[in-house]
Amino acid sequence: MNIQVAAVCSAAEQQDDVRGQVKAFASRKILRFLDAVSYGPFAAVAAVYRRNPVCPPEDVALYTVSGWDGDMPDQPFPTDGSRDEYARLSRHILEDANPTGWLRMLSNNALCQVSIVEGFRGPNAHFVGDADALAQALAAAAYDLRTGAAKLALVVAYDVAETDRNNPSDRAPSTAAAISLTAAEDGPDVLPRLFELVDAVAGERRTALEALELVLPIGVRS
Amino acid sequence: MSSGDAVWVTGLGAVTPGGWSVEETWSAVSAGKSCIREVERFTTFTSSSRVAGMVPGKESSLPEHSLSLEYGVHAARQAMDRAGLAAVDTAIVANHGERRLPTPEGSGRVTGVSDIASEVAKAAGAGSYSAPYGACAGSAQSIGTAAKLIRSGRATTALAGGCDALVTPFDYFSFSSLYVMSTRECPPEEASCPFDVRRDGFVLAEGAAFLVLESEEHARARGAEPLAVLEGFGLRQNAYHMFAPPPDGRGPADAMREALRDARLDPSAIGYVNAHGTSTKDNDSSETIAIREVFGAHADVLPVSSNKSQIGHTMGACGAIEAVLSIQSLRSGIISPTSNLYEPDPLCDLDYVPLKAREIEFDHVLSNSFGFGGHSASLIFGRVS
Repeated sequence: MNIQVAAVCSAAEQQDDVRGQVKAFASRKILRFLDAVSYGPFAAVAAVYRRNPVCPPEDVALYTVSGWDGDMPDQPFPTDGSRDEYARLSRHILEDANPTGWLRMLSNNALCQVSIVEGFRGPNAHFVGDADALAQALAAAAYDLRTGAAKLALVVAYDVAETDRNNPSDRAPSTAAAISLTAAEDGPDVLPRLFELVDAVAGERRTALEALELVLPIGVRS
Repeated sequence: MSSGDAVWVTGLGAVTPGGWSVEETWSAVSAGKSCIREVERFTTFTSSSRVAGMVPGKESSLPEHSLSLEYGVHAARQAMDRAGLAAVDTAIVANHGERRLPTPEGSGRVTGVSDIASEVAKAAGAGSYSAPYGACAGSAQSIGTAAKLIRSGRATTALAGGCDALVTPFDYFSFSSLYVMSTRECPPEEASCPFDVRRDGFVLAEGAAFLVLESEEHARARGAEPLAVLEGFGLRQNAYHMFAPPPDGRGPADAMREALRDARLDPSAIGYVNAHGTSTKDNDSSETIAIREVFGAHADVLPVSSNKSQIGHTMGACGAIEAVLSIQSLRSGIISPTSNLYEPDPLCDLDYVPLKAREIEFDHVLSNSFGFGGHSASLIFGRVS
């Protein structure tokens, strides 16, 4: 089986108002569970799938990759090193904070929420890492297609600006790109070229998003 | 697995509330010995949960350094030593980083996810690494992904598993605020009681486990001893809820079916299911429904048990720890029990091997892991023929 590109969505296509893009796909209930960091991958996944759906959503595999690894909310109160800080933290978390805040900061949140909206039920994982992790996601996606575990595989890379890397999820806006792959008996196999490009930059510790942006033009041409 | 070379397991390592090795952990789990204790390393204040599973020797205080990293490196070295390898091609290390109280600088991060994966990879001499972030399914995702890389020729050897140490004030209070942990008034040892009608939440725990996976060809060429074959992997998404299990069991059922398809096995070939079995109301009934749906009449005679009844819920590490224990079961012909199962829930009507281990020879074991984020993962291990 040869791996072919079904559609791509580059980071440049994301609008300044990426939350507005997400609103076109997501209900208000889902929007409540999304923070700034999740808007980019959510919009990229929904866009690349709808561009060329190829198969019903239940047969779609979804892999997201990012250097952003989830973080914690802002400091809830000034710390002074005293022994009662943990007591105050416990009171804050147990009594004051909204528990959904802990869930929104998880770095697999975008994958989960977009799967609920679109109905993706195939193989899925979020990898924290750089271009190496992207290469692993592409390999897993191709494996799923070749073995029939999925009929369409979406691979998405997203990242936040270096200055936002340690910000909480609601203040870490992200940028994302996506590629969707499918398998066919005939036609060219793009996988060797995809690996060639990603492997070439993996040694330089380039981000997953940078690596994916490098391969998107190949996909379009195929 | 359904294409390419067979994937052998040639190394195992584990650090759990049961001990600092695979052998110590297996000894505790197979004896049905609970490793759950009252939390002493920090004050639980008004949290209604007060117990956890902590690694022996680490119960009394919380060190400055990352326990997750310490456990991960220790378990990775065990696995590498057991495999007799100095280096692997890649390391796939599920974890969720480690946090303390936020500081004025903005973050209480002790160690990031990538930092832990990178250090574990170094301990395994790996040339590349990644870190699946799949909550309680994360290390099962690691193992399955490693197998896919080997099957597709992208790697010959891999270290795969996970480590987590979330018994810290920040994470403990956060889980408590979600009302997902046990608050039952009982001795700590009895708090985790999967499939029992009294169950009321999971017991947070910590630990690490890693498997060395290797292509059969590579392992044979160097004369490595195969501990098991990774025969199948099923990974599915619930598309239902961030953390609530689907009441109809669809995601878990889909994952088990996919693992069976991948392994090319009939459901009747499975001799034991190592359940996710968290001791939460929803997971245990959902998983039971899923097992019944996938296995049909075979479910009536299929032993199912949960290691979380002894060691608690180790989060990102649980899939790998339970894979290690599944392989120990397969190799020893001993199915570890579900401890604390005194009052079976009518909604949970399978053979959960209550209270006492059982000796049964079997050829294939299926291990389930389901996680926040809707991830459902099933692994199948078999004997080397």
